[in-house]
Amino acid sequence: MTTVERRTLALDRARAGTGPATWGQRAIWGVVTRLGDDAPRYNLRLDLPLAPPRPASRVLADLTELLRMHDSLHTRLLPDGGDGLEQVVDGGGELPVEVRACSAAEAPKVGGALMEELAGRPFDHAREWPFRVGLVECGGLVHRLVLAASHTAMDLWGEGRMLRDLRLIESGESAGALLLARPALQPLEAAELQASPLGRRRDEAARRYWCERLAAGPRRILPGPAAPDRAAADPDRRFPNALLRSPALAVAVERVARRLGVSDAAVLLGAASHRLARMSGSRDVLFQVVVSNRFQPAAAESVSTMAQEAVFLLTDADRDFEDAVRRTRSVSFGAFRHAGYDKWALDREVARLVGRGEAADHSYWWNDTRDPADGPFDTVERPRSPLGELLGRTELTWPTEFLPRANVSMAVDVLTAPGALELAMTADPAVLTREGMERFLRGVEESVVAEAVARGDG
Amino acid sequence: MDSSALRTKILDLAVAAGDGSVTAAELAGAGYSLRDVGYSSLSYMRLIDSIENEIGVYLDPEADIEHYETIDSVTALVIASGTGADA
Repeated sequence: MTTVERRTLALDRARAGTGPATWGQRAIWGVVTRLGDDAPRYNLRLDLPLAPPRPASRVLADLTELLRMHDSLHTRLLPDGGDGLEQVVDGGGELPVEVRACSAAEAPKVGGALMEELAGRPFDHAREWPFRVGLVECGGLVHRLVLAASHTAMDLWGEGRMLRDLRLIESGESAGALLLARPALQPLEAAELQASPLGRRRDEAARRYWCERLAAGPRRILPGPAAPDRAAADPDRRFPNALLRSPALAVAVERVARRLGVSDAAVLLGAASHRLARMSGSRDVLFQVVVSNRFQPAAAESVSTMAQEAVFLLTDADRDFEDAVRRTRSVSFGAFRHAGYDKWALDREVARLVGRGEAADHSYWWNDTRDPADGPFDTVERPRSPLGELLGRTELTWPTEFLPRANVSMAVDVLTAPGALELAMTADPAVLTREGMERFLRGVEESVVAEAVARGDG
Repeated sequence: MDSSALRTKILDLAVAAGDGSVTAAELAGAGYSLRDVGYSSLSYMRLIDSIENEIGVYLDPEADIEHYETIDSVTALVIASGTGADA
């Protein structure tokens, strides 16, 4: 039997202040606000087993320290009705904590249900902190810690930093000591930088870069002549989700990167661009690439939403694999350098380009979510088999389907798995069939593996 | 700032942008070649960022790769891109 209780986490004397929202906060606040009741799909979800189980008082004390460390967890966002959005960092307040008591055997199921309860409803960003806490207690000790966060509080990179800091706090570190050792950029500080003359110059340069690439890019990448008709006739069509899990790709991408003197991220994006160009017949391809915007050390430590989209336009991507990968490196530098901007202002400029029929197809998305600190062979042994043999271990599955997504022809996430790399892909069936999705994913894998083999790394 | 001081400044920024992955001594041992010490893409991004923040010069990240291969070529690129270097 499960019992239900509500407690509170009290925060006082934490950092406080107000200021304009950051570019990242504005960008994601705009998205989730427009989504309304569908906004919870952007919420971040964590259901963490505690081993060994711990007293609730200790868990809540650690979480209070975590809030003290990262302002974004106790920040509200207030629109002014116009173009302004203000961030309010509360120095004190109370966070409700949902507690479920059950037997240890029931804890995983109860934890899963509690996570859905916490993350399954939208946040009221003007009135509540973007962070929700749940505890699953068994025999008086917390067996599972359940956390839900609005995407306005953190992106995936921020979530990783938050988890790491929570573990350090659990091991006895204080927020003050951790921040002293590794200063983390707080959103109010980021907003101040963005409002400075340098920040404004970068914003303008980034939006100019975006618009120039959009004006120069291909009007349509995959031809899909029936796409507009199908999209109109079948607005509820489901977007398939394919997952390619490849040990061969994990091995080959490192080797190709080393041989070409580029990052493995450039190899994968270059391979994807080359494959898309070959498949579509469009020599130039354009991806919106999600960029962490965490290049400086303090930004790298930040628990907040800093990630934004870069526009990546690779010309003549169909020509040659090696050439595409080498140029991906330098084009990525430019694109990533221009991935911090006021999204609302950019959206207005892009809408004008689209309205005039002068915008490239920007419905292709690339998100390399991997953390450089976590490699595929950190916990499993690197395979010694030849790449040709490893290819036989590739798995392709179709885990789920999604509701239609606006302005998405194709979206690919790169993920690290134990002993493999994963490419998770979603595509609009009006643009690309399941067979086409498989051809693309296997094509990316084959391109990289073939390059590694050709360079004597078979 | 004269070009020698500028070069020293860029060397300091390059080491800092390496975030512990490379020392000044290692760079000197490699003839100040960023390529030869395996300077990462992330480090390059940080370096370009730092040069704009601290020297006030915007470098084109898409400039030909040879401009970013050594401390000397980066220094030359900064001067060509418009710094206060005297010589």
